[in-house]
Amino acid sequence: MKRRLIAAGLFLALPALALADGPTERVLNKKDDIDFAKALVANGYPDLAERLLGVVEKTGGAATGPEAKAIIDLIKLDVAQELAMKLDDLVKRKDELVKVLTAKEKFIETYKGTQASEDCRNGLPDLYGTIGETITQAIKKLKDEKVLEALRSEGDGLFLRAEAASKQRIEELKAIDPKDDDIEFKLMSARYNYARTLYFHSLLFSPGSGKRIELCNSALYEYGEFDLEYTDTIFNIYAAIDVGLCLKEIGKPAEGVASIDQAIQVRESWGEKVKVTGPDNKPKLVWPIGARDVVDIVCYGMLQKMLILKEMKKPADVIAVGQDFFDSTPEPWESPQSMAVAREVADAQFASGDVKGSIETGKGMIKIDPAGIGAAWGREIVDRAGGGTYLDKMKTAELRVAANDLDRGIAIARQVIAETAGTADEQEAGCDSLLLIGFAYQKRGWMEEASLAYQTAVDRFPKAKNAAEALVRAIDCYALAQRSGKRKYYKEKIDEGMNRLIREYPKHPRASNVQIMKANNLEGEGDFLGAIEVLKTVQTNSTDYTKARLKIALDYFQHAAKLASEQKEADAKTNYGLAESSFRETIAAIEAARGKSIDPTVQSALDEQEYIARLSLARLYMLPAFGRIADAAAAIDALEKNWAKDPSKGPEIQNLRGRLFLSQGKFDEAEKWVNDLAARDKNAVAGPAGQLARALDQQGLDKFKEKPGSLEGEDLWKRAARFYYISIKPQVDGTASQNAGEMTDVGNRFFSYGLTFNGIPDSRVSFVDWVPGPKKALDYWVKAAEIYEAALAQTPDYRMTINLGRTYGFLGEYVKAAGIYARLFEQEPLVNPKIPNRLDNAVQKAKQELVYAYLEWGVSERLSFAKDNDKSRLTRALRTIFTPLLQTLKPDTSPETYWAARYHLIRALMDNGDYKDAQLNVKDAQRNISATFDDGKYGYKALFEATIAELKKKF
Amino acid sequence: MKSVSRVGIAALALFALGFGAAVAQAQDEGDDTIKKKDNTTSVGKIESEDLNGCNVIVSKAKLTFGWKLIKSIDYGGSPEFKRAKGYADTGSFNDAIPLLEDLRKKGDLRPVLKPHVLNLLGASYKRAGDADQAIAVYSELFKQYPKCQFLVQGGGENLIHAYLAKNKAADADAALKLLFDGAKAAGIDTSPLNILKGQVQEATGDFASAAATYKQVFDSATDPSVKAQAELGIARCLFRQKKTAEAEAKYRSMVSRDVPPLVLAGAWNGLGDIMYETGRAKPDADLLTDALYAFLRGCVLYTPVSGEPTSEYEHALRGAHDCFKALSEIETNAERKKINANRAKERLDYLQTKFPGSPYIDGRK
Repeated sequence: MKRRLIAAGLFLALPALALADGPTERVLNKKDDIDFAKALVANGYPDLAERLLGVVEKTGGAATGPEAKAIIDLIKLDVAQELAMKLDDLVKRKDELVKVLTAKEKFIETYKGTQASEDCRNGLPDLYGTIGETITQAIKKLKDEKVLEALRSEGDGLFLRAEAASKQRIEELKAIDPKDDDIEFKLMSARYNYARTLYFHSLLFSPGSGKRIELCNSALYEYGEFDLEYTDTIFNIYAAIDVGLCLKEIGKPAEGVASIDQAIQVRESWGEKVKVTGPDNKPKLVWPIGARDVVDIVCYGMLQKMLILKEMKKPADVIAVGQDFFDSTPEPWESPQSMAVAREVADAQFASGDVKGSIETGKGMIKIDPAGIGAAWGREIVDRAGGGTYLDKMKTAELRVAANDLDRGIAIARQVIAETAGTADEQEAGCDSLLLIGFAYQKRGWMEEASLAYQTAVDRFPKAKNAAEALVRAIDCYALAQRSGKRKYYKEKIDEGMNRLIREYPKHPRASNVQIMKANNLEGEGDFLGAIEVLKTVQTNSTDYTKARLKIALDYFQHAAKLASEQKEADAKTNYGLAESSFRETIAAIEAARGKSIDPTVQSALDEQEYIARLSLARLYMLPAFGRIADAAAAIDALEKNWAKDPSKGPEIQNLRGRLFLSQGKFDEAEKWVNDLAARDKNAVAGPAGQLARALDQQGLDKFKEKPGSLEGEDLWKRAARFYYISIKPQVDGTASQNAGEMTDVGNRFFSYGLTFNGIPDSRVSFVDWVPGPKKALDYWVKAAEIYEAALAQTPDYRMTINLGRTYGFLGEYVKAAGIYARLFEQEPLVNPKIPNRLDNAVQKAKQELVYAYLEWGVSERLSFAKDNDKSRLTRALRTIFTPLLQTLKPDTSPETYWAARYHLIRALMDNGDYKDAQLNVKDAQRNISATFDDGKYGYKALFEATIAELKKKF
Repeated sequence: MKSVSRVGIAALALFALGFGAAVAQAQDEGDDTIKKKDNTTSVGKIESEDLNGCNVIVSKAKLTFGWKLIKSIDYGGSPEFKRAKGYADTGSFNDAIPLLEDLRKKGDLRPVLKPHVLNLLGASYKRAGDADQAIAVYSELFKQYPKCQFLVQGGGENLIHAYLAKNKAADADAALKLLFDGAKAAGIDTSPLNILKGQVQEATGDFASAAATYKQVFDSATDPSVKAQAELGIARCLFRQKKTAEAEAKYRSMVSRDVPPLVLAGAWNGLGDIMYETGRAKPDADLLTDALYAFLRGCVLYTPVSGEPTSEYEHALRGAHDCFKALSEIETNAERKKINANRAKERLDYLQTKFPGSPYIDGRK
């Protein structure tokens, strides 16, 4: 029985798609996939079959046989038919069924000649019957005469069409001569189906109506003809049952019963009854029916017989037939209709006053099919007979709510409350009933009513097992109601409910949410120990348990750090210890929780929690104040084992590894490890390389402080530069997100290394009038420029832009430098257009670095002219740059910049061929400022004197 | 009820109501009807049967038909046996057992039917969950009829599985030795019994030896179905030895060939195991769905017929349960989650109800 009931249950579940996605090609063998799909349908998995066929189609269904496409389409149509049958709205159901019918008729023509087409054709009478039944049911419920008439008319039209098609097919098959076995079988099927269609057609009309009787008589005639023509086939047995039903319709129920009895007699084909022991260990005599399908026919026939007897008001006979079925049939519950037989028995028992028997039958149905239709029907029977406990009634109410019969479900639940009032079950029954009522309202979308039901449940029955659940649901409903209304009332109810949850039901899993929120507030106030106390109340069964354990550990850690900052080292160490044990407990709790679910959301949260716990533990071990650095390596190993390849966590872990080496002073090991890591993962190595670079940089600086020009210092800086570059390259290349501060720092270090390794004295920062020495180490500046360029592309910065311009200047790339400065002063205008020949005083004061950079721009333009001979550069240098500089700066307050500007203005005039003006300008400087220029303080006296000598040669 | 299904069962019913009458007539006369794979039928009197085939007198001629040629036999002379078989065939094992117990004690039962009665009784006890009784009956069968055709498949396999289901590998080994001894004494080729030997070795966790045993059978067997069983055993051992890729390749090769249905069920179960393990570890809904479909092959398509071993069927049911359960766990949509959970429960309920002694009730091995 179970297996078949399972199938029925699965059909009920059909509308929802049970799997996230369909299967893949892996599930095919391209041999008997279609047979597999058919077997899935036969076993109650039409939805899975449809998905399988989807894959078959995608991968070229033809490979599975010539009929594959037809079978695929037919199964899909059958699935559509099943889905249509699930629609509650009868008119919509009819419409959908008619669509399926039309599609099936089209299918039969499209695939004419295939077995699938034949199977589909043989299924049409039942589909017509189903449509007719749907229309009949709709007619019973509807009152609008116009709609009723339209429905009847539509149904009649459909059946007339079906009958005409059926007759035509019979004639076509009759005309074939000679007929082989296949044609004979088709003809037999067609004739049976025609009679059956007539019977279904009759059901469209009121019982006893002329039309119904007329159609039944036609059906009887056709069945009679069929019986004359064919004998000993399965169709004859079904025909006998159908004839019985037709006879009942024409007012001959006794004859109808007799006809069905003929069908039931098929059970005697295997010999006399035999004695067996039943499941109750009592002996019984059963018909040794040797084919399961015949048992099913017998069951169907006996059910139809019972229905006729019921109409004949013969409950005793109904009971007798049902008992005969269950007593004399092998494995009676295996038949799909057996539960309906049992229901009829129970109804008849109840109708004849055998209430006890009715209850027993109902209970038997529940026992046989505890999760299916048997349980649903059985409970209704038991409830109606008053034979169940309040729990049985609650089950019935739940089933009604689940079936969207909300009013009935609510009514039964209210009945339970009334019936259990003043009894020992009052608390539990009352609370559960109100929970169900609340749920029913929620299903209907009536949040206010739902919240009231839940709130009443917890207020009236606070000691009930599910009171906490009721409170939580009430809070949820208030929250939903508040979302749309934003009313103070709801907010207060939510706060009140949450406080009550912690106070009265601290063990409820949802109480932990509230506890965590409270802990967060305490943490925000710096009260870590207070937060820990709250978090300790989170129960082990809570979904937030591991989160709470992690927060406890982190709170101990933070509390210890706070104590350390207050110079309370001993207390701090104690709390570091507590943090360590808490982190370990957290990790153990997470590991335990992992095995309980494979829900990806849960697993992902646990993964994140474990990462934080392990990372924090490693950091804790690395704290000198804790004194456990020896344990850090193992902690980092554990992190690497799980998250080394994680794009965000991997680099973080490597950083930690680098810090560990450095904090232990193991520079050689660190260098080797960073080199190895660089070969494996360019992004992960960035953090550790940066740490190592900074450590080497500092060591180099220390050496230079001890001894300027130290070779050891130089070596350290060269190594530092290499690791700086490794650390910053991912940001330069865009494979890691940029850290503007780090880019600036590293860029500046390369700029400085350039100054150092090119032998530039500490006093000089600009390329203006720099004369390169014998040392050549331009690569540092090349890298500095690369870093600056990458950084400026994302984060404009005037200081960095100046550095970039200077870097290009040092590299002798004046054209590039000029371009950089031009862009800079376009963004940062130093000259107010309203006073074109003077520098803007305010800007000068705010960004002093711009003044010298302005000079560098002029020099860059001038020196670029030597490269590209672009005279506009000289004009720009003379008019736009040097003139305002010289009209603004004073030789006594900005001597270096002033004399540099003066010198380069004269050189620009000379470059431009204006030797006379150049000479006048030199003389003017000597006459009005100083005959000896800067007196050699900034190196310009010698340069001016050389210029004067050069000018003399021009005249 | 649909007309489509009626057409489907019509042929069966025609046989039952029409052709069945002819058979009944032959049986009344005590004759046996042998239906052969070439669709011919021989009606005669079977004198004896053994592992090689049946010896039958047809029209005074003494013929021997090998089992490979025979599709089915309807034995004459005992309507009780036919009824009992009818019950067992329709899954009514509790109804079949008392009839078969009566026949077991019946001294004047046709000798040729006696091993059939014990074989069917053992199978019925096993399916009804009474492994001890099954072992006792099978032991009696092979003690009395060491040359019978049930030595390897059916009875022999069920006996070994009954021991293994009770975690009695040593007893299974001892029983197997008796089967070997009996077969040797009867002068019968014992190589097919090595399939069972491999299964016992598997049960003890000695996958290397089991694989070697299967390999030996595979190399020496000429019967394609024995070869296929050996190949399936090799694939299972590869999987147990963590050689998953090799195991999968073997399973895939088998599912695309025409091997016996139970071997196909085993191969799909093997694929299901592989995909399930990976799918659950990740977890990966696609892989779990594929695993589900693999197990469903054994649940709905390659199902055992009466008397055949049901271990692969039980394996498939358990696998389908596990997949539905895992899919339910990773599903975020509440409705789908519930459906999958229900389907998982239904599979397990079915396994528990129909195979109360199944080792798969506690999980896949």
